[in-house]
Amino acid sequence: MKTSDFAGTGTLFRLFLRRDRFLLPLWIFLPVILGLVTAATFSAMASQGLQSVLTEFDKDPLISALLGPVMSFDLSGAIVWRGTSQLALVLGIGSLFTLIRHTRADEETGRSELIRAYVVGPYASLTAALLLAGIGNLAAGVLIALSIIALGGAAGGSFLFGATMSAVGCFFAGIGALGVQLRENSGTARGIGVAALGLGIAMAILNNFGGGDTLLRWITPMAWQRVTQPFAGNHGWSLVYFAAFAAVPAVIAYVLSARRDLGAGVLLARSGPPEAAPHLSSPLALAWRLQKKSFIGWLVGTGLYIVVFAAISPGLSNAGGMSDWLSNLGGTSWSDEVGLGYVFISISFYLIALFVAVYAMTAVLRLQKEESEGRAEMLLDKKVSRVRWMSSHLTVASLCSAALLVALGIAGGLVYGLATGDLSHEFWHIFGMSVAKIPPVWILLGVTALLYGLWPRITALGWVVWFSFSILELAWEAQLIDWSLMRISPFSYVHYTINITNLPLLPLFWLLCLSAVLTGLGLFGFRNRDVLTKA
Amino acid sequence: MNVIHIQKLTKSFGTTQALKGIDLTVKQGEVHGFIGPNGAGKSTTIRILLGILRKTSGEISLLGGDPWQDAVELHRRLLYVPGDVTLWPDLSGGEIIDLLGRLHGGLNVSRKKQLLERFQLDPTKKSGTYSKGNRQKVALVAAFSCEAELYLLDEPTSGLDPLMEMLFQEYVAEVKKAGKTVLLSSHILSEVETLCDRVSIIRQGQIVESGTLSQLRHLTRTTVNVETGSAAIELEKMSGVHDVSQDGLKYRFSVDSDALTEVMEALLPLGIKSLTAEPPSLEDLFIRHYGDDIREKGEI
Repeated sequence: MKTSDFAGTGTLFRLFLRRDRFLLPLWIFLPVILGLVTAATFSAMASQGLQSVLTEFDKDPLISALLGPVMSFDLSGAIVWRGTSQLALVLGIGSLFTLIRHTRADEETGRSELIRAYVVGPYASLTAALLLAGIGNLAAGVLIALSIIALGGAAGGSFLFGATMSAVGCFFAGIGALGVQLRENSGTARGIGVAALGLGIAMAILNNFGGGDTLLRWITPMAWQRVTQPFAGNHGWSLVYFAAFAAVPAVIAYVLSARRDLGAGVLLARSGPPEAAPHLSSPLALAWRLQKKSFIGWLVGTGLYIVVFAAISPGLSNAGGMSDWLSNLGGTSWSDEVGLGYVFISISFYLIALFVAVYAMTAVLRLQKEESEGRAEMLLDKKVSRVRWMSSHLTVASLCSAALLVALGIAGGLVYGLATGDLSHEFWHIFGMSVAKIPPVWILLGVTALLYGLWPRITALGWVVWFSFSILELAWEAQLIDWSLMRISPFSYVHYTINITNLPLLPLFWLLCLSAVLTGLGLFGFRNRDVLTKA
Repeated sequence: MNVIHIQKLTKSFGTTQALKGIDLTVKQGEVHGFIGPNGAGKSTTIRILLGILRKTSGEISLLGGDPWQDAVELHRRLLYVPGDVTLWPDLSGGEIIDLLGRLHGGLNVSRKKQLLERFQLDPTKKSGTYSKGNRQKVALVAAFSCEAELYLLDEPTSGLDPLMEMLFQEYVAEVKKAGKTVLLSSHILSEVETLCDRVSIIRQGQIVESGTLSQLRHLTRTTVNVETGSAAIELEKMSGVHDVSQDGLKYRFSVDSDALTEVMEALLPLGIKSLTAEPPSLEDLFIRHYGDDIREKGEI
């Protein structure tokens, strides 16, 4: 390593900063907003005194298994207790994608080659991207600290918490840097990053399940607040350990990057089959071929979660001592309605359905990627009509999202049934919870298809719709809005507070009809609009 | 002095051997054409020269340095234009040109303005909306706005229209006049014929011909059309004569350069009524090697 290996780092840093002028503030400010929302939720609940609310949560077996013991019984402590995993997730995703975007993605498209032929060292891109992520995480940490101080938190604890979160983000930046070295495509790096995030959350839950102070917390970024203990033990020195821990993947990344060619991975590129399989002969077959990998990824990821949740669910719900807050969510005594044993699994399926909707939307948006990158044209100049091309991806999106829910229902039903010992009865109950979510998921699929077909430039609005449905849920749980407003969300018709055997079927039928209409309008729109091409 | 000197260069990607012992010399001040079919190893060679791929074995010297070890120092002295330019879709063309110029260590602003005008490139457009040809222009404008000793151009004009192609040739000629060195990899043989002093033909990871155009022409056949006064001797049977076709007393055949004297001496006594001889074009050279390629593969 010599100085010239880093030539151009400063200019590249400015380039990356310029390219990320919208993205960077997004993931820097989002943690602050999430922290403030958490604080607002607790303030709203705390009419009878925040301390007693937190004490009650602390005793609730279900909640403390997920979030661990409360370390400090005040508003700052509540933000740390509830917010850490959310903030870690946002900073983790932001850091990972910043790294991938400026290293592997640039290599993949050939931009790095253009850059590297100038006076730019082999480590310049990697260093500039790490710098950007590092500075972003530091800024996010400072903002988090300032926002908690503004809410009345102690300065020392606030900065310690902010610094802990910065360290978590930096660790995932390192994971991103490491992931991009392995293969020649950025998809693999994204997969590695998402798997690392998922593993981190799972390990944090395991750590909380074990009381919050197991050895796992040392190697689980999502549980590092249990080491530094802001507003409680305030162990600032452990930040040094985290800095070292976070540097490990980055250092490995530097070593690996010196050992590979530009554009190549450390692992050799896999070659594909010399001939197309006979069935690869229609737009639908192509759409499935393009989306297969991501479907399998989602299936494995969501499957693991539902298996874990279904396995621990019967034990948790029957442990007794559930807090009033949880059993009276939104002011209903819903735990009586759905049955005590189903409380946790019911919420789990509700949440997973929101994520399956994300999957369905990304599967539809594959259309946009294919179009904007010019690959749609290559099919549309063949014997393929616009409607047929668009339906191919819509078919994959709808069938795969439904298949996900069916598979999750089967897996959850089996595990839950075996755990309770009453498989024949429980299986269908749990299975029903899962497949009932298909209509609302398809509504979001339909919304995305409609936007894509009619107004392709504002498909991002679909995410706004998804986000509003999620916010409605949070607002309802915090009793900020009442049920009639909650009805706007299609997910309310299969809400976890409704016993699956009492589920009204007519609204679900109408939801299916509505999703068909939305999708149809999207197809109609696409048939009549220009295919976007490069001028 | 040799600006580029490559000996027995090989490069393997896993089990596939992309370069099987390349020998290539580019002298100072020359425009060197580098031609060959797709997948022959042109871009791999250039990328090794840029130090972004590591050689498997062999000797390379670039501007007196080692392209892998001294990559960054060497890049101050060279400019590169790839054949398939990808840009940052959310940046404007003007921003990208300035960025690349800064990464080189400064560009000549008035020259940039002139280039933008002459290449008719709108620098305010986001590069995501550029067509292939316009993306290519961004890279060309950036490169020619800067100063360098060596220009590595890898199919730099792909996607350009003929007018822009001519403009490009003008700039290469200008660079050459200033005493700079150019390695031009190209598919457009007329471009190579107009611009290049020397040419190397690469095929299946090996250099099969290298030299000035007249040297290369000497190695190949001249096509002859001749009309004689009386019936010709059996041309087919003469050594060095190929592809004979006959229409009355008009003959058309190609002849190896070293058999030319012999053939002419044989024709002279018959009385030559008309005679045209076409020197081999670069295309013929290329097709001769490329054709071998096709024939070999056909036989397998």
